[in-house]
Amino acid sequence: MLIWLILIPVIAAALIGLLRTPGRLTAITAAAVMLVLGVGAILCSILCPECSKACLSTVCGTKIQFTLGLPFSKIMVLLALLVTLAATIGMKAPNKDAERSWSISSLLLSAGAIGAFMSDNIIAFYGFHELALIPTFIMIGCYGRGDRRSIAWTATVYLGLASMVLLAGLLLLCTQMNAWTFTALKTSVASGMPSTPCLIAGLLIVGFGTLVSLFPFHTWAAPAYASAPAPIAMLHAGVLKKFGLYGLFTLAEAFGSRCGELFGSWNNLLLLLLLGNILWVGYVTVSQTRLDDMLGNSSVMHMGYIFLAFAAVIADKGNNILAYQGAAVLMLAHGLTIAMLFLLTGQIESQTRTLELDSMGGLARKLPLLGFLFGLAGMASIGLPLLANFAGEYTIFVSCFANWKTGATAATAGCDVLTCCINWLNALPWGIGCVFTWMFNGISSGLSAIASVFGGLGAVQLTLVFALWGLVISAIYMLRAFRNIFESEIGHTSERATKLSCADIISAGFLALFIVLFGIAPQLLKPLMNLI
Amino acid sequence: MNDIATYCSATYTWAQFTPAFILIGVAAVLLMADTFIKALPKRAYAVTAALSVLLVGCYTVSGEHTNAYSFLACLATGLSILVAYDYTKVSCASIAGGTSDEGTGEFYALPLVACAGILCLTQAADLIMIFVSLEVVTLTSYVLAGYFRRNQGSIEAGIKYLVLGAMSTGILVFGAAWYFGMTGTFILDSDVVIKTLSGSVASGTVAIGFLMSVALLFLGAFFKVGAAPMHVWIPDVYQGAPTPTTTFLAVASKTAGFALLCALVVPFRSKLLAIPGTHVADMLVNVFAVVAGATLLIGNLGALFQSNAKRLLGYSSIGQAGFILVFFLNLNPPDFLKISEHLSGPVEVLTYKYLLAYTLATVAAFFAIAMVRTQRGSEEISAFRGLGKTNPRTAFLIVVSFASLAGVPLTMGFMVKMASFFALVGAMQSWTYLVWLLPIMILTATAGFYYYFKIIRAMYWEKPQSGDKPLCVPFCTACVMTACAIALIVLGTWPLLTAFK
Repeated sequence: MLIWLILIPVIAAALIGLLRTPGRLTAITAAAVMLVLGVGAILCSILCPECSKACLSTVCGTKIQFTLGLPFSKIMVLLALLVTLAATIGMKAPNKDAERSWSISSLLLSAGAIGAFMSDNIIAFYGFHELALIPTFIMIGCYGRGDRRSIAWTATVYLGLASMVLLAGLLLLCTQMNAWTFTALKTSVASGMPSTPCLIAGLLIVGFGTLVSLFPFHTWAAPAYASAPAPIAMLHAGVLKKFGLYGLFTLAEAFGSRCGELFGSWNNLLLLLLLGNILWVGYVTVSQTRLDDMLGNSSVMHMGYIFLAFAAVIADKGNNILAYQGAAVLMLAHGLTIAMLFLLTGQIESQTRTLELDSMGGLARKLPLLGFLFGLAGMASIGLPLLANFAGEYTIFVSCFANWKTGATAATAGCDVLTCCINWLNALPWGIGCVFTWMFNGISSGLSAIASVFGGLGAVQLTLVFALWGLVISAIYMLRAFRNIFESEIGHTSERATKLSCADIISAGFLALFIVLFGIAPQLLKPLMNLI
Repeated sequence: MNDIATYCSATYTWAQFTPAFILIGVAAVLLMADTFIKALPKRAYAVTAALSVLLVGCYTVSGEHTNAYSFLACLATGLSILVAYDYTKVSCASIAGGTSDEGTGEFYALPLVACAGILCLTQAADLIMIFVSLEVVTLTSYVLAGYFRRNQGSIEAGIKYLVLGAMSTGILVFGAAWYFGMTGTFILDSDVVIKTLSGSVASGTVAIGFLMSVALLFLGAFFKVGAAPMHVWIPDVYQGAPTPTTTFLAVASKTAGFALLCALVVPFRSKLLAIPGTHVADMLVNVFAVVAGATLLIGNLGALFQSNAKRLLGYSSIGQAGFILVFFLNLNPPDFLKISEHLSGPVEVLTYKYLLAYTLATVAAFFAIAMVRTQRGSEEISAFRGLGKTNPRTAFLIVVSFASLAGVPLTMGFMVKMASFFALVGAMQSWTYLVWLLPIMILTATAGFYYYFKIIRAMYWEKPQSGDKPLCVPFCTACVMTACAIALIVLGTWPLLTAFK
């Protein structure tokens, strides 16, 4: 049954491409059928996990390695299904040909993402994600805004290289653990750890990290999202990008209490990098003058919080259930929110024919509903209570202090990786090693000094203190964008606005509904996570 | 007399060569018909030749002497003759001039002779047979490469191939002579090798003459597979030769090369020789690692800047050969590699799988190039412009084949490229320092994404020019490309969904 979640979009794409059926209509039908089937499958596996196992993952008697039993599978599949439907309904292609290509690409992206989130097989998990990159590449190159070709090439080279690094990491992991599925990995952890955990974790963090646009490997992401057509940006930024985080969390969960042994030596470095996402990219976002660039950067920025949850899990040696839950909720919420924002960006552009923040204004007077929906999504993105992102972010913030006692895990500042680097660099000739050692020691003692000022906070807690400033940054750019677009005097571009179509309202309203629903009742998501 | 014969060469049965004889027979009949029955349309020869070689391919699978490489060679030859079938317009213009098909008959018959040579090569157990059958392949290829006598590029390709090929043959023969001198036999066998090396393995010194013979033999094989440093002929010959011949060289001739290389390394696979730490094993691994690394870099980085599709595929064939050579680092695969039958196995099985994926994708690509050349008059990548708009279905098939060459997941190309990475991981268990090859493989695989996607980019990103009509896809091209695409996807997807522990 699960295989239909992939076959339906692929078949629909084939129908559109080969038999020239109407693009958008076919895509919407396929997305709706997928949603019904997918929700059915998810409910089935929640209500009767044992009996559903057989009927969900068997085709003609052959067992297919798809499962909804992994910790984040259900929630991510749900996200993919919701965003796919909204993206296909809200699609505004310039002509029939474009509509066909957009529909095909959206469906293939969706198939790739869903395939990755359902795969128990680690190589298939990797493979489905790669598959989804091709339509992204073609769509940005064909229909993107701005300097689309160089943007598409940049993204392809970044993602291609990252995938190879990731593949190397996964292969090393799988061979050393002698397990090729997440489930098998979980059982084989009991009998031993990989022999080169530091190398594997490094490859995985760089590989997955680049795909999720972890600082400093993030420069491909914002231009790509800004340039991509709305449905592609929605699906990529909203759904596909979560692949990297999904992978990290699933592996961490598979390693259970030993995940610290795998990723631990990189944790402090990761904390620094995610601060780069939140603060550095945050300020970059503030300085953007176009709405699409701003949203692209904001999406990169918010990844920092989910990485924070990952770091909290690792720091707490896998016992941090709160962090898992927060991350899952935030991944879903961020996916819905950023998809909705990109959707509305497409609508704003089609109304005003511009995305320059300075040339817009007063759009809410012409289109109050658009203003309301954008406001809602914007507020959700900032993290306003009662909207889904708040539930996720708040849980993550709290989880950073889970199992923490004053001074118990005080930052020793110089992290394992730094120590490792120092040893390594000391081996270098020509005294270069000395310079680096001196630098690293400087950083280490600086960090210890900061930690002691804050009364023995650990590295994760310390990072949280800085990360909280990101909330202010998001508020600055999002509220300012809202004011520029919707408030103030009616700009000449807003004069062009006519009215929203029914599809515009339905697609955005559909996403808004779930943002509010999961904001008010985040506990609905709890059964969707398979955590102990 | 009898003694010398058995001493020098292995014994064969006639049955081993039945498929080759059939092919030679068909080729002879076709050549006679070409001479005496002028009225027969030449395309009929193509159909006969292609059908007979494909049938022989089926026979090699089902027959007593089943050999995967024979099947692959027949498949590759048959498909390259089918490329020629759809290429008649250009062939006629380049051979007789105008639309007359005079003189094109041999063009369809000669690949059969070459294929017969490959079939003999796959059965060979001694250097005499290897040399003779290899010469059958090579001599025919010289003729085929220079067959378009009204086309300067083709003549240039023929001459270059002849000169460089003759040199490599010389090297191979020289190696064979040294082998005979050092071992007293032409038979390739692990007993012979062990006997020659006995005593010297333990003491850490190896007979220099023997090593030299092995090195020279390897060099001869490297020429056929297009591995560095014997790769220089590939780009020019691929670009200049008639497209059907290029197809043959790219797939069938490469199969022959790897069959030869496998035959040469098999004697070294004995447990006594290939164990890590011994002098011979280390030396073999180092040689293959260096050659693979250089081949990967030259092929993949060279391809980055190409604008001619055939030349691009030439560099690509060098690059792909580099990935195959990585398999040769694991002559005795460690046990832990055996957990997945899709990713590991003896070197000849992995090589065969890689070649199959490469053949399916490359043949489809050459069909596309031939079609574009026939109808748009150019083999440049830019001639693929706008196919995504004018011929969406064909464009999709081309995407599949190039995606498979690039190693995009869910195509067979991904599975085999991953097997190549996997082989390196396996070899690193014994020779940790081989880790230097990993960044090279990562870099070159990424480079592959860049240059293979150039074609995809031309098809989807470029707008068709005002005079561009949709391509009219010939029946044969459509069938083969569709079959290749389906095979690539099915063989790439199914193992992923089912087969791993």
